[in-house]
Amino acid sequence: MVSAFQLEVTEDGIGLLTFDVPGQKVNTLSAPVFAELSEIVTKLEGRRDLRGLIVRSGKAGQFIAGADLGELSVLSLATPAEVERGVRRGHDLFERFSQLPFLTVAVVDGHCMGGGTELILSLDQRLLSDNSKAGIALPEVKIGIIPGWGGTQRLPRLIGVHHAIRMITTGDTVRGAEAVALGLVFDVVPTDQLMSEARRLIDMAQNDDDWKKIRERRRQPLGMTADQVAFTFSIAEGYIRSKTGSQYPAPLMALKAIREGINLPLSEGLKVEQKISAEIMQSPTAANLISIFFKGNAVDRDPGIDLRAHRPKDVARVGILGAGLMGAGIATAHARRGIPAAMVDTENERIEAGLKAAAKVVQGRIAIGRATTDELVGMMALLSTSTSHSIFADCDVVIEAVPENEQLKTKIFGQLAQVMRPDAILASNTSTISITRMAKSAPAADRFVGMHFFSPVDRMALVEVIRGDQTSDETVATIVTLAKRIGKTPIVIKDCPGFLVNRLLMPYMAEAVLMLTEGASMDMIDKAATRFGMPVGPIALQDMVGIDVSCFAGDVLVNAYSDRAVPSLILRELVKCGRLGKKTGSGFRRYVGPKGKPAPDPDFDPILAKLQSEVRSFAEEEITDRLFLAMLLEGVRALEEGIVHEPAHVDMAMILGTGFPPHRGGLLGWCDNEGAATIVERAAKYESLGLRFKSPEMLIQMATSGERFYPQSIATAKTID
Amino acid sequence: MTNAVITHAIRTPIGKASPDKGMFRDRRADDLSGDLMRRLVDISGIDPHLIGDVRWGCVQQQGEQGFDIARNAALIAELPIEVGGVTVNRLCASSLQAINDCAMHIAAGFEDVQIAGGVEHMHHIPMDKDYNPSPRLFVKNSEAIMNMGLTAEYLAVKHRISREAQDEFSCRSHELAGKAITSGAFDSEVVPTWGRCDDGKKAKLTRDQCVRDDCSVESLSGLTPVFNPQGGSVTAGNSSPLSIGASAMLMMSEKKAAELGLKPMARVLAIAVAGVEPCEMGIGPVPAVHKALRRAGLSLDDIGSIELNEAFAAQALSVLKLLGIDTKRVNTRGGAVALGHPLGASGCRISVTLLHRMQSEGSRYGLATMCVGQGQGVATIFERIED
Repeated sequence: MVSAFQLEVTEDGIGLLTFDVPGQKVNTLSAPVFAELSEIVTKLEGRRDLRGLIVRSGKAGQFIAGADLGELSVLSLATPAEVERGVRRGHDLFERFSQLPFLTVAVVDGHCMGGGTELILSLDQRLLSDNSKAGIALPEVKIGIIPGWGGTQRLPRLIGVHHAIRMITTGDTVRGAEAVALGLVFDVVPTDQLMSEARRLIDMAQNDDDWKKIRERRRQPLGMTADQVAFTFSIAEGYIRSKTGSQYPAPLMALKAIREGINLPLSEGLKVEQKISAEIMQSPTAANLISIFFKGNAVDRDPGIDLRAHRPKDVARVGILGAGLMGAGIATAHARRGIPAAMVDTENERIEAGLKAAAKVVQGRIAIGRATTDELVGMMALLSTSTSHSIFADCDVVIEAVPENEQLKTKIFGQLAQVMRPDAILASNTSTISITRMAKSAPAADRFVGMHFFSPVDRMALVEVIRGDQTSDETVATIVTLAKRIGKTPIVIKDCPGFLVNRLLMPYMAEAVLMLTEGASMDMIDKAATRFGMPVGPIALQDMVGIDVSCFAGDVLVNAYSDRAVPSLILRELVKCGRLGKKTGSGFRRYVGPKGKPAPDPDFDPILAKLQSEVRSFAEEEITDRLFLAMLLEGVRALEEGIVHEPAHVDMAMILGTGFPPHRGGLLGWCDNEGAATIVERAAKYESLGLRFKSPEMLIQMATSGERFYPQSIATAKTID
Repeated sequence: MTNAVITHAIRTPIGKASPDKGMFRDRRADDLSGDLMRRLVDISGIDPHLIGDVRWGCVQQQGEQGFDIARNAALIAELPIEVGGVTVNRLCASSLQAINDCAMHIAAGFEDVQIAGGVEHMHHIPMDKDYNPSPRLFVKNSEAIMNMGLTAEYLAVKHRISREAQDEFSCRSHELAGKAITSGAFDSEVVPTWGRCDDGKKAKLTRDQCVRDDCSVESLSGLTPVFNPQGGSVTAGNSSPLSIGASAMLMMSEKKAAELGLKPMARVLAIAVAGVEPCEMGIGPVPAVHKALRRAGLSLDDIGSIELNEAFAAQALSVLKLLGIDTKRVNTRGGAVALGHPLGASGCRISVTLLHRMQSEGSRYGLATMCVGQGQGVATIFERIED
């Protein structure tokens, strides 16, 4: 391996250690990097002549991204001894760093994450640049593990227990003035002054021994009293449980490591961390969350079209037809990323409401300090509006976001053909209507494509790019590239009713309604789903989405998959009564008070009673199985039909589009964890309910052969190269 | 009566209340306080478990100064949890009051070892933030009693203190403060404190930031009066600047000091507070000093060293005029016009400077006095304890 480090010594006796892993966008701490770093520390330990050491990154705007996740994911399969070795490797090295015989300073001009943060925590001082990207985090809990190279012990000894708990158990990044206020860094300075400031710190340390005392103090127990420990950690535990439920063990394990190590000398505290870290590294949740990280990367690299083979067209200007919730959201998403967007609607009032909605997105971010007024001004400047289609004349892409009505849409396509440039692409934000069929009315079938955003657009990362029979590769590549430019995760899907997300979600939603008519209570159904890890239950989701919308989409799917899809008769009844969900104040439940809190609605009972076929008791297991098997089997069918070609596409689409719990490893990852044979066996129990529970051929084969959707460790296969 | 003595007296340098230039612009009042308390414990070598209470002056008790900053700072200082903390507010005299409160508790035998001191961060928490008095306060008083500058203007007119006299007095304050800094006279009282240098870099600082080397009567005379631009005489140059700082003392009974083998700097001999008309609040020291002297059985002639807080030159000169004190005797290391007046810290700050002056000047008796907004004066007389 080529050297990742460069060590120079300046004339005035300061060591400059530059970390720059060749051929990688970011610096990661892999085994070879560790080996090299270890040799360097050995050299440094002998350098009594040095006045100080500055550690920096050779990559602009990037410091250290952390441990090598490929190696981490392998650890979930390794023996406990191997895991312990991996963890101890970091501890030993950083311990040696922390005891070098001169002042050590890290200069951080970019992201500093995980293992990188643990490295700089072992140094005497840290400086942060005022670059807006520069920030320090210990995000380990987000992938189901805990900081394992000293983070749980060194951070609280540096910034105190409270803020250390917050940083470690949320994984949030600390930047700028906050980092200074917390004492995490000495100061924030402009990038071009980082080095001179680091030198000044080293100069100051020559006649002031404070750093030696501070170093020694940070090796001691923090010295919390029994009450301080009992109170602090029980409050933190209660808070974490209220935020993460019981499905994410990592924050609580991190808390445990802090609690058990904090009142011990550092060297003992590190041993506590080692033990707990090794334990969690091998938990299934950690393995699942790490696998999701890699699935996300896989989708990023391969969204369903080879972008190297098909050149996307340049997109300088985008038109959006419709200033409603979706249209305004889509226009905002483009303008926010610097792409001029022209928004058209029939009436000025609707356009005004759309602009207001656009501004609100950025204002909301300003309120939480994630955007500036300059960004708002810049974004609004890129939004132009009109009630006339002629404004689309110079648009490279026009995205249609009018109400979900095929006749209306196709009529408008005819009008658009009059004004759009002959080489422009028309994309439809339809959630249900066939792209192949509508292509017949589009200005050009090869330049017609589905671009399905999810609501709310500013928060939902997924974009389904739907390829009709005649959609060209260039069109798909252009829309995929455009979606990436506006910060979304595009996944290319072959046209089919419901596309991917709704096709898989609808059987799950329908099954929930069906179980209601069989006598399961709606609270029980929702609870089974949220216990599985869904953000909201399916009945609650019906009310949130809107009963009319759900009913319409359900009908499309029932017609398309009539062999197995079950119509939700209750939805039609509710629509008839005008109970359209939260937006009208009632649906399955009623919504009360200024915040519209859900409450049981006695008026719903007679509607249900009319359609209730039986009243029997349900075990939670049956509810969970029927909900998620219905979803899973449809997912396997979609994969089998080649709607998408990668299992990761199914899993990421469901995570990003529906909030399917990442800690399950994704929908197909969940199947892998349970084992195809088990799934087939469990589905067979419900086969009498209908064909929707009939396992597809692909799954049956997997059950026999023991094959999986993903190799034993997706990471081993994909990253160590 | 048990005598209260002071064994250690320290302060931070005083910074400007400026969002872009202030040396303490990104330091917090509670942290500055905590660091100073810690320092007091460290230099005295005292077992902090002996400390009974912390009495800390602070005027604007909100934000970082809110929720009993005395206690919060004691916790930040990692004093033992058994040590109490109470925030004292008598506006500008808050920390002089804190000293007096400690002395009273010691005298009464209710408490022994204590920390007295105070802090104010006039940039982070402006002096008049959220202040909202009842209209009934203004039945007989103009609302302008709240405007300290206008009360100073009133004193200037009433006691015929000329603009020239104010500017000369102010210039003297800067010169003496500058001299004290360069001669190292403050070295024994000022604790090097982390802040920002002129170039924005963080460093341990000792120099009081408001003191001007280039101050002249000419330059001061060019300034427009702030509070009454038409015909007034009180300017930004002859008023104390808005500032930030903390000051602290370790106090205990004379007996405890002997027991611990600590050498006291001085004992508290007499204390007094007196009310005056709010519209001439600056004159408050006059009755307070008379009262304190009476209680000490002394006359002004017995007092060797005097620190009179310079809220405004016009105010200080009015007080000196009425008390018949020669200007030369007061504030020989400069006063608040030059050094700054971080409200909650000032009473203890002038006392700290006074005690160090008494050591070097060899005076037996010293007087610290100051005026208080809304019409009060506080005075404390110290007696130096010789070896």
